Amino acid sequence: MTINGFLHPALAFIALAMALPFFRGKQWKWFLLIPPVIAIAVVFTATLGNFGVIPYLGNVLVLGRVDKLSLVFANVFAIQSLIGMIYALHMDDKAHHAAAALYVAGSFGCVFAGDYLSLFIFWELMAVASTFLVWLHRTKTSSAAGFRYFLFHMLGGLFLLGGLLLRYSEIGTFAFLPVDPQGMEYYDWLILIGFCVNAAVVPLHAWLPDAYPEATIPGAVFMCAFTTKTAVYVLARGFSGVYALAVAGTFMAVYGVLYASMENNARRILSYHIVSQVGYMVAGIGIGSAMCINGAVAHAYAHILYKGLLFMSVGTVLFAVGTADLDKLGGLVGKMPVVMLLYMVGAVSISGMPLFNGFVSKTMTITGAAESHHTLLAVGLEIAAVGTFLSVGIKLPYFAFWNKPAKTDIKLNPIPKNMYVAMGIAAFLCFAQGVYPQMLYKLLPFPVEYHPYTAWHLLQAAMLLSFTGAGFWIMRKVIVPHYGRNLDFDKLYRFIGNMGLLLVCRPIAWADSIWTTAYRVIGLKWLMDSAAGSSWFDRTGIDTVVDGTAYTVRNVGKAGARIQTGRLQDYLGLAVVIALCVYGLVWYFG
Amino acid sequence: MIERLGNWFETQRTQNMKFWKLLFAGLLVVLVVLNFFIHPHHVEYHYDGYPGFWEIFALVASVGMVFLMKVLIQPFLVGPEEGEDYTEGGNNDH
Repeated sequence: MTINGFLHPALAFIALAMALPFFRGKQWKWFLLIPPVIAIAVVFTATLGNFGVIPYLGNVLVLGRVDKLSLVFANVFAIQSLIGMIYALHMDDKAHHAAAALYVAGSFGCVFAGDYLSLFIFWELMAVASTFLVWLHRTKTSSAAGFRYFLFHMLGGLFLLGGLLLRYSEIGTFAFLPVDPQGMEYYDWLILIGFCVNAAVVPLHAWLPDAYPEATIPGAVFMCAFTTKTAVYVLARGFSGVYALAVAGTFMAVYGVLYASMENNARRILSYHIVSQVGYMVAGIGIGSAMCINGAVAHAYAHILYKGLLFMSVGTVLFAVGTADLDKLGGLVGKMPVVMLLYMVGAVSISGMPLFNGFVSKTMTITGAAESHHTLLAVGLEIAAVGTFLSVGIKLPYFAFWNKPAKTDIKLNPIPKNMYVAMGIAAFLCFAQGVYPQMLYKLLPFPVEYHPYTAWHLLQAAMLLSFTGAGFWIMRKVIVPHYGRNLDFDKLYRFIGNMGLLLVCRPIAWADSIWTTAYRVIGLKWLMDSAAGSSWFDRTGIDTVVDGTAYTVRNVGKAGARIQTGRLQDYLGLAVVIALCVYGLVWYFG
Repeated sequence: MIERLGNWFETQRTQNMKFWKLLFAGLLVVLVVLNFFIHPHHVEYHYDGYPGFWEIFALVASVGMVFLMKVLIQPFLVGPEEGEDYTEGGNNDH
């Protein structure tokens, strides 16, 4: 697909996944870095336009729609794929690398897809490949969580498929174009529900905090970047200005931080904060003004970098200590100071501290919401900002690194250098984009007229963060995390799933019992009778024939033996008798 | 190098907390004072023009959030964790 000079980045990742089983020796891991480097080169040199246009059954598939919106997402996907591959470099599991590569390929495919059909194919590729990133953790809980994750994404995929097919039957095209927010048809809503599953819109979100904490350590780093942000891209592409999304997004932003504030598992805290942060993006898309769309896209870009960094540093703690449960951690700062510092870069970025990229993107979305007079939404997003710093900025590091002495008998696994390199790159980018926002601005779909570094914005951010800190200090004895799983919508999904299973099983069991009775009464009787009949036939018919043949053969044999006396004169006599008989017959009939 | 950094942090954590607490309290005071002199360019929610609004907003939101979730709601939501953390006493990522 190198039509007109555009090399689809997905090709490089698919090629890597196919080639992985054939790599031998020790140096094969360096090949893992080639597709991300190709992808980065492509996104920085690509020209705008439609590439890879394939006529198919009377329709047109567009595999390479390259415009400003797709390019900004592809840009951050390419960078994050490199960071993720570096972070995973120490792993020997080829299946894991192949799953990650196919997952990233699916993501690129979705971003560049210009029609719903090719979008759907890559969408499903992502779902399947990411399921393996959960399963390959190879624990009992990860197997179960992987199955739940897969089922839920299949459900979302079916909504998308149903929507796009119904849309095709109504308007006769698969083209992936923005909808009119005032005139959405039923099939548009079906597609929107499919997208909302992947965007983790509450109440369709619970697969995320269920599955991500169970994924492999590098797997979670990949997953936190691609699934939800691909969904943000398709929402921005197709559904900007749909007000329901603005409300849903704000609700997500608050819901995520509320759950995170009582969570114990560090990776689940971060997962709930994905729900919350994606809420900002969904809200921005729902409001739909140029500034909000810019804010949402910028936030997606920044989010991928800092959330990846957070998952990497928490993953490093999990790798070294063996648990991500805050009630079992504590006092690690003396043993892992660099990891703590890298984590804090991610934490202050997500919290919107000046000098880091979250400050630029988050305030852009909130200001956009306030300026377009969505006051309530803007206040909701501010509450979420407070909650973000509370959980990710203070609670998590406090209970993991600071609050009590580390256990004296603790034995840390040595941390591979590649993990530090990956975290270092991400931390550098979070900082660089914070101090030099133009880096981000020039990628955005609309021209930017926003200046984050004013005295008031700086003071406001400082006040919000500092007094959140004061609030934490007041409540530090209350917020202590406890071991346990908090009830969320995934329990409802399981209930509905089990009910569905019952609904299917009950009628089948009922039909089965009737069939068993009918079979016993009618079928079995007939079978027994026919068995008796064939037994009789066997005895009288078959046996007579078979035995008769056997007796005949035996008698013929006996007669033959009697005739064969072995004396030459007998044979000569017999030959003469036979010859006379033959002559007699010839004479008589002749 | 890393060890020295770790030891420094450990010293701050165990012996120097008083200094950091005072520094933090000082920061809060400075911010409250600054808020009397620096105002928003244009007021967006009416009340945010008053000095002290965002300080109270952050304090109430954070304390309220913890109280709501940890004290009022979590007792009804929490159940047993599903299976033990896989990596107890070692990890299996290799």
